Amino acid sequence: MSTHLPVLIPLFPLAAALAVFLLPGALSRLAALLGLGAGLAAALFSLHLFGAAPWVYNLGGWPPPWGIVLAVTPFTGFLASLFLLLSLFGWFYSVASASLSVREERPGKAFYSLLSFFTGVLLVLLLARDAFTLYLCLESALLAAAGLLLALNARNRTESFHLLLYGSAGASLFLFGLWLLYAANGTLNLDDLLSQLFISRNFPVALTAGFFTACGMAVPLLFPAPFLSGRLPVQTPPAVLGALSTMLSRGAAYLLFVFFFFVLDVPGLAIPRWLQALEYLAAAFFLAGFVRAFRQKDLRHAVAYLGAAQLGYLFLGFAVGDKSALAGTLLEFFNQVLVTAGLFFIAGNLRTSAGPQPVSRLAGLARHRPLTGLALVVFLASIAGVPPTAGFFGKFYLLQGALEKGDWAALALLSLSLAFNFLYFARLTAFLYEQRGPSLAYGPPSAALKAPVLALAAGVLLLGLFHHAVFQRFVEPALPKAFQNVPVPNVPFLGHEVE
Amino acid sequence: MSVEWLPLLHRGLLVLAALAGFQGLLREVSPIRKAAAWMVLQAGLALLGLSLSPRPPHPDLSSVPVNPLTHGLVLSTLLVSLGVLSALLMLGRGIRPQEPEKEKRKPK
Repeated sequence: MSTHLPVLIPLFPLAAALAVFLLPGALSRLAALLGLGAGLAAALFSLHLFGAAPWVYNLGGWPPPWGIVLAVTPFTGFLASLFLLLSLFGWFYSVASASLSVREERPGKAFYSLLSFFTGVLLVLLLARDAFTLYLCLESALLAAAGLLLALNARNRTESFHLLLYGSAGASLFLFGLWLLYAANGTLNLDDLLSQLFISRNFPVALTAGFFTACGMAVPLLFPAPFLSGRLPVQTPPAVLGALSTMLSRGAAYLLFVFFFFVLDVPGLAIPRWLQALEYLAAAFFLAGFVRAFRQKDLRHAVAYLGAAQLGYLFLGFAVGDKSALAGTLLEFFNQVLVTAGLFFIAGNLRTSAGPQPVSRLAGLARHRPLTGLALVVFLASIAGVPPTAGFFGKFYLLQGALEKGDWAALALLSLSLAFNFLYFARLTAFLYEQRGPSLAYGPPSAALKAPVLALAAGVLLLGLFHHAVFQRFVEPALPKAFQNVPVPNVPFLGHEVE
Repeated sequence: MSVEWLPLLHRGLLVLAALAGFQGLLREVSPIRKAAAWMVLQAGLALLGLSLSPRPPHPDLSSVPVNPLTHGLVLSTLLVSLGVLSALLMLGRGIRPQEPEKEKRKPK
C-alpha cells in the first residue's frame, strides 16, 4: 500500500473533481465538503511523503523510460503541500466571503469540481517526469483556470476565453519543443531525455526546444497581470484569484526550472550570447513590473503586477545558473508562493464592495487593523529583501551567485530592483502607519478571514528564520546533480556507459 | 526523379500554416475565428513535429520498426486539441466580436 502513496497526492483531488461533477446540482454543500476532504487528504499524504522523500512511482507498473514516472522529492513534496494549502485557502475564501455577505454568490458545484481538478493537475505537473504528461497538465490547468474564472463571475467570459486561447497557443509552442526533443531522441522521459541528449550531443535541438518551451510559458507566468488579463483582477474575488494565479504561475516557473536544469542542461552545451541576452531581457521585463505595480491606483491591479514582477528574480537565478543563484531561486519559489498569495488575500479581505479599491485608502491601515497591516509589511519586506524574511535570504543567495560568477548584468538588475523595492517598502510602511482617522481606512476583515493571511506571513518569517534547515532539507537535494558532487549526467535507466 | 524536395516542401507548408494560424490569432476579431486560428497553429506545429520524427532513434528500439510512443503521442495530441477547441468554441460563442477600430472603418 505504501508504495502507492505518491499517486494518491494528485489522485484525491482528481477523484473529488469527478465525484463533485457527478453530484446533483442542488448538493453544492456536499460538493464543497467533498472538495475540502480531498484537499485535506492529499495535503496529509503530501506532508507525510516529503518527510520521507524521495519516492518514485511508476504509473500502471510501467517502468521508465516508456512508462510515466511520478517522483516526490523533498522540494516537490514541500511545494505540493504549499499548493494544497493555497487550494484549501481558495476553497475557504470562496465559502467564507459568501457567508460573510461580501456581495458574492456562493459558488456552485462547478467551482468546487474545477478547483479540485485544477489542484490535481498542478500536483501532477510538479511530480510527473514525463514531457507529454507535463504538456497535458499545462493544457488541463489552463482549461480548469478558464472554467474557474467563469464559474466565479459570468462577466469573466472574455477574459477566460483569452486566457485559454493565448495560453493554449503558448502550450502549442511548448508541444512543438517536445516534438523536437522526441524526434531527436525517441523518448519523453525527462531523465532519459537528458541522457540521450548527452549521448547524441545534439546541442541545437536542446537550444531550440528550450527556446520554444520558454516562449510557451509566457501566458501562465504573466497571469493575471492586468495588461494581459483585462478586467480580471477587478471582476474576480481577489483571494480566489490569488490562489489560482500563484499556483499556475509558480507551477509554470517550476516546469521551466526542470526543463532548463534537468533536461536541457547537457554538459558541454554553450548558450549563445543572443540567448543569454534574451534571458536578461525577460528578467528585466518581469522586474519592470515593480515600477508598474507601484504606479497603480487600484490595490488589486498593484497586487496582480507584484505577483508577476517577482518572477524576474527567478529568471535572474536561471540566467546566472550557478549553485548559489539556483539555491536562491528555489528559496524564492517558496517565498513567492506565500507572499503573492498573501497579498491577494489581503486585497480580498479589504474588499467590502464590488467597487474600486484605491491604494490611497491604505493610509493609516496598520494603526486601525494592526495584524493586517503587519502582515502587509512582512510581505512587502520580503519582496524588498529585508531580513529576517525568506525573501532576504533568497535574494542574498542570488546576489552571492551573481558575484561569484562575476555576472555584472545580473548584479546590476538585482541591485536596481532591490533598491527600488526597498525605497517603496519604506514609503509604503510609513504610509500604512500614518496618523489618519479610521473612516479613511478599509473596513475590518473578520477574524476567520485574517487567519490565512497571518499564517502566510508567519510562514514567510519562519522560512527566513529557519532558512538554513530549509536549504539543507529541501533546496540542496533539488539542485542539479552537478552541484551535489554527484557524477553527471545521471543515466538512471539505460545503463549506458557515459564518459 | 528525385523527390528529396518533397519533405522540405511539406515542412515549408506546415511552417506557413503555423504562421498563418499565429497571424490569425493576433489579427482576427471574431472569437470563433480566433479559435479556428489556434487550431491551425496547433495543427501546423504538431504535424511539423510529427514530420520530423518518422522513426525517432532510441537505443532500446533498434529492433522495433516504429517507436510505439509516436502513436500514443499523435492520438493524445489530437484528443487534447479537440478538447481545447471545443472549450474555446463554447466560450467564444457567448462573446460579441470586438468592434473594429474607428480609423479602419471606411467612410460612407
